Amino acid sequence: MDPIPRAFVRPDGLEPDAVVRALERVGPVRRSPPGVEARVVLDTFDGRLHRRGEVLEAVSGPPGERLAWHGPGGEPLGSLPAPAPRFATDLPAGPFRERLEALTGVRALLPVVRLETRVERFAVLDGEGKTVCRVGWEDHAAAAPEGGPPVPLSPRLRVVPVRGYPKPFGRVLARLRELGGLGDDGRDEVGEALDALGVRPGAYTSKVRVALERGLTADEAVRRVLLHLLGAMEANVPGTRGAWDTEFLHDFRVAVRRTRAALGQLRGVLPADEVARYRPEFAWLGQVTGPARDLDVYRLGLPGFRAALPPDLRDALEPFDRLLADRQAAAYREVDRALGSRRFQRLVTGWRAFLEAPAEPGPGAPRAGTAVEDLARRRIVKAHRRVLREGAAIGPDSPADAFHELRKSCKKLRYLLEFFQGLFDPGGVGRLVKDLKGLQDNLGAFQDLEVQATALVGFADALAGDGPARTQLALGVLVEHLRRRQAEVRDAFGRRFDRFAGRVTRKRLEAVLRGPEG
Amino acid sequence: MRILATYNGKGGVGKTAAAVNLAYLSALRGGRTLLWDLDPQGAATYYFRIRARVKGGAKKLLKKGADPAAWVRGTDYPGLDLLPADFSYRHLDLLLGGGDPGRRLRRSIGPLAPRYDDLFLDCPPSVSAVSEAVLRVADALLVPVIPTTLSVRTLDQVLDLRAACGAHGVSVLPFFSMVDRRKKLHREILADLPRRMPDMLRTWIPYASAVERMGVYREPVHRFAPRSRAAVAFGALWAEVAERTEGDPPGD
Repeated sequence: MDPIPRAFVRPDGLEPDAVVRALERVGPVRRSPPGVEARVVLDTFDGRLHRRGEVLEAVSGPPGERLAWHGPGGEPLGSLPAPAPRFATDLPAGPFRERLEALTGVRALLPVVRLETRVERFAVLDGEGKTVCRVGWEDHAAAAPEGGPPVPLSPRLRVVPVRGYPKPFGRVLARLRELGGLGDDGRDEVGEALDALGVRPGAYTSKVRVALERGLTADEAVRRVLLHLLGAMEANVPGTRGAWDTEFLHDFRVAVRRTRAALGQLRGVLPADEVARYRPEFAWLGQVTGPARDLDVYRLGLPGFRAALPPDLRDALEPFDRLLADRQAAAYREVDRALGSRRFQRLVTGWRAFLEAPAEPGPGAPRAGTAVEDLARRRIVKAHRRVLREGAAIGPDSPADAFHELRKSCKKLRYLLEFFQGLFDPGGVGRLVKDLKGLQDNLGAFQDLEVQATALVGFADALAGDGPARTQLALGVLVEHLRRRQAEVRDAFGRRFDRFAGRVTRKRLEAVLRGPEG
Repeated sequence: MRILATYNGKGGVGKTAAAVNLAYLSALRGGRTLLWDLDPQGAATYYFRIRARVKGGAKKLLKKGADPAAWVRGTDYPGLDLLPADFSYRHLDLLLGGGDPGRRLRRSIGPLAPRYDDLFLDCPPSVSAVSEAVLRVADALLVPVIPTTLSVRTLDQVLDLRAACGAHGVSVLPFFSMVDRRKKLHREILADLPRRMPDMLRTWIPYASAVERMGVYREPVHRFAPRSRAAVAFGALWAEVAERTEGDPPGD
């Protein structure tokens, strides 16, 4: 096992020269001129790197711009001479990009915290002039990504081992400890900066995580769920309005859809007149953000479209992509307007105030006082039955609409399971969701192909006249390809549905709903 | 993990210079890179100022269950590690030979795969069980060829060896090395051989003093002469090798 780097807090009064003298007792020391580095720690909005304990930073300072990627123990995971990318795909092709892309997917790399580091480096050499240990004399200041006054952090003395040279590293540590006063606060300057600025990367997750206890009234539980969903909507507003990446809008829409499903599925819990007032508002949010999401989906699908074309037609999609990009920009302007509007402001403020207000029993909410677990059981059973009924009615000649309806019913069941998972055995709910997901994936693929094929025909019309014939040809090939895939997906539906409707899943659902007390 | 071996049965053709400079460039472009100096003479190890010693020798290193990472040393460059040479490597033939010579080498390399993106094998100049084992585990063989009649002959031998040991999975990527365009013969072979050998890489490495000075500075050429003809040529060679061994062209 290789030793891991250490970032000691330096005591007052320690001088660089004293450090160099200590290091010289281990071996010759090469001293680099002091320099200043501007560092930006990058992560996805949902903190995919932070959650793994990893740090990716864009460093600029002599000799230029580079990306440095470190693991939980500070061990290097990669280094690349490149400026901060917005997406992993902006990086030059190679293993660094591949590994980062596998982690971040379509999510943008956003600045988490900025650091300014004044550093002087010492390399401890062996008899051959080979570096066997590195030491950095570092002074740090941190600032929020959007700017603001820098916060000075603890001055540090960093000791970095070189792989395969544990002994010099141990000797360096021993000599430095003899200087006295080195502190170990169990973090490095990045951890300290996050603490100092109160930044918590990865605090956001698109998953529904609501703490519910049995015995809670339905009213209280549903308000908690809806508040959580409102939080998810609000968290995604800046990224949606700024089009930082496509997941913001997606997650925003999912939170809206979940809210609408909750209001529709859990009738009689919240006062009916209030709900009636808000439901059209959430419907508006779903509708006003729909076109932008559709265009995101088309553009994200473009690499797949290209790959489905014969090689000599692949570049023919350029005019199509430009058309999509124009429409996407226009659709996002609409979204930005909607989310910046008074109407949206009023919706959010009013909705929050309503959800946070203490529950008052009223005639419009006959089920408000029901125990949440009873409500959950009843609604889940009902949604499940509906899925089984609609699925069983689908035959080889059923129209695409029938699949669409079933898909919506599956989503409702899924949301109910997720809202109330805290009340039941989490493992059991997890397995159920997995069973359901298999069916949902099939239905989702069918619907996406349906929408894409229809839309491509529409786009072909829009491009007719000024688009090159090759583009029309390429779109024709794609529609053909999508229809073929759709037929395959339809063929697979029967198996997927039978599996979900089968005994195993049914028993699973019964066991989950029966609960631990049997 | 991609495995690239620099190999030629003949010595002094620029194998080690290629291994050291290409491995350096692989790391510089963000690859987690390991160079295994399989040559008991330890020239690559020397260039990195690392002691040519493997504690316990080749026998212990290649033993079943051993993790070669325990012998790995960090070079002075980020992302680039070295598995040093050892005098005991002169017996590698005996250790790797017998039965399927690729088996033991593949087993030893196994634990390295999750830690590195690129593994370079710098092979000793011989036609032996070591070369056979390398041919069986590598994804590509980078074969430096000096444009002389004798050196071109050794390229044919590499292809024969590949056929003889049935290592059809490995692509053989020859490139011209130590090219002196003032020599008529060099110019002729430079024009002629690629016609016969379509897999030949387009980039050639000039005969340059910068490459010789690697032994003086004990650094890859990019470190002390980044704008030299040799450094530029190795940069182009790495781009070509990366492209030919990746499947996807860079930038796509």
